[in-house]
Amino acid sequence: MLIRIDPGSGVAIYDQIAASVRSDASRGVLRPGDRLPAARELADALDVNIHTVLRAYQNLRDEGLIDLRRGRGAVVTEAAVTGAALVDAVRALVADARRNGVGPQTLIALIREEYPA
Amino acid sequence: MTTSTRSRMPLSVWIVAVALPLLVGLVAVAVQLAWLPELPDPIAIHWGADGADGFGPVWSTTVLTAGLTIGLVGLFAAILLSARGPAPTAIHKILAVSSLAVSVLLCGTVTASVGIQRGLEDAADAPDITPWLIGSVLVGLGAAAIAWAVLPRSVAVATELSRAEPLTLAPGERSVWIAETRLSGGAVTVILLAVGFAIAATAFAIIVSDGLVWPLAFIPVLLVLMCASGISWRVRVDPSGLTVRSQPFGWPRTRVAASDIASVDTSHVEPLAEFGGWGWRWAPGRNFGVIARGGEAIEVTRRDGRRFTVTVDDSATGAALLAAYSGVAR
Repeated sequence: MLIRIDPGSGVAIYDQIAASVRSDASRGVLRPGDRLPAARELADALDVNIHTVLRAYQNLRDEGLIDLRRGRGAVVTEAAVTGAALVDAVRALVADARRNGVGPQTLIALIREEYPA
Repeated sequence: MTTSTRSRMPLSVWIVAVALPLLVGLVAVAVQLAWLPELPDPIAIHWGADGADGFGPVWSTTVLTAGLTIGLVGLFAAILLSARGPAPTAIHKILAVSSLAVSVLLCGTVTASVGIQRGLEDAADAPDITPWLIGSVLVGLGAAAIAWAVLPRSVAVATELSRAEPLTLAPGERSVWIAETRLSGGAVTVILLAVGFAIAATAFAIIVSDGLVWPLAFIPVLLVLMCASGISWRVRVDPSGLTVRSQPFGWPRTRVAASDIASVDTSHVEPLAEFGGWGWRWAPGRNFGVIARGGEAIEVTRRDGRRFTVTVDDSATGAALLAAYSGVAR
């Protein structure tokens, strides 16, 4: 898995780590049941504080993308793959709407029409 | 890159690797059985510096001959059966002639050790085995050399390398790529067979020698440790370069510093044809490799020309990041 960190981007490092994991899940590089690297190893490789990595992992757990279990480490959940794919599709949809001059209200109305009750 | 196809190993390879060794084993067993009435019981089965020093029941050498021949031939056959891609490569031929040479050496030595005890009252009077051992080695090597000449010419394995496109990095970006690579099921089966065989052979040797050769028990223990350290690896690309570490001990490991890298490629590896097997490998022309399975791999060439290969999924991403870092370091 690829974790990209750009300290100059202004985005918090732990958010960048979490975003990389999400993007790996949507690329299909991470599959349900895969184990993320140990926080200590990742912190060492990225040259960041271990608590930064732990915070990213805790955020991902709160989103339901990984399970944190003592002794087993961080394990990718079933939801990570489906969820990440959906996030990608939504992102593409919004970009498409923007390009065609469709505003957020119109887009939401369109989605509601496709998704009755 | 093509999908791997099962190779068509020529019949001559199977004759050299399986049929001839089994025939040698059969002849050895038949000769030993024919000599049975003339032998002392127990017979000498181990020789030290001062002559025969280990003894076993009279049937033990025959069982040893049959068991070791079948086990060794089975092992070589299992490895050759798992071959993919063009055949026979030089490594396939080495495996085939090794099977023949080892069985000749084994059957020759054991049968000679029985033959020199014919007509003896006490096996402790058994003469020196060394000339027969040397003779068996020479005959085994001779058979291997003849078989090598008779087998078809080995085919060369062409490796298709594709140069990795460096990932575009923002200034100051610190990215890492971490992946795990583990041995395929087929390779694990072959290794378990080999280890099981070593354990059985060792147990047999210890039992028939009444525990005399008990230090041999360290061999399977060592084998199990070596195999356990060669099943799973963690591959890491970070600003310092490429690190491949065996799991779970973290050793053995290989580091290639980013500043030491001349080029990074991805390739397609056929483990048996190119590296002669799985795990920590060295192959002429390919240098070192950590080979977990067939398929995509990262291939690094150092500035001094030495190469290092590691088979791993999503190799293109890892190679792209490594190429970016080795470019930055330049």
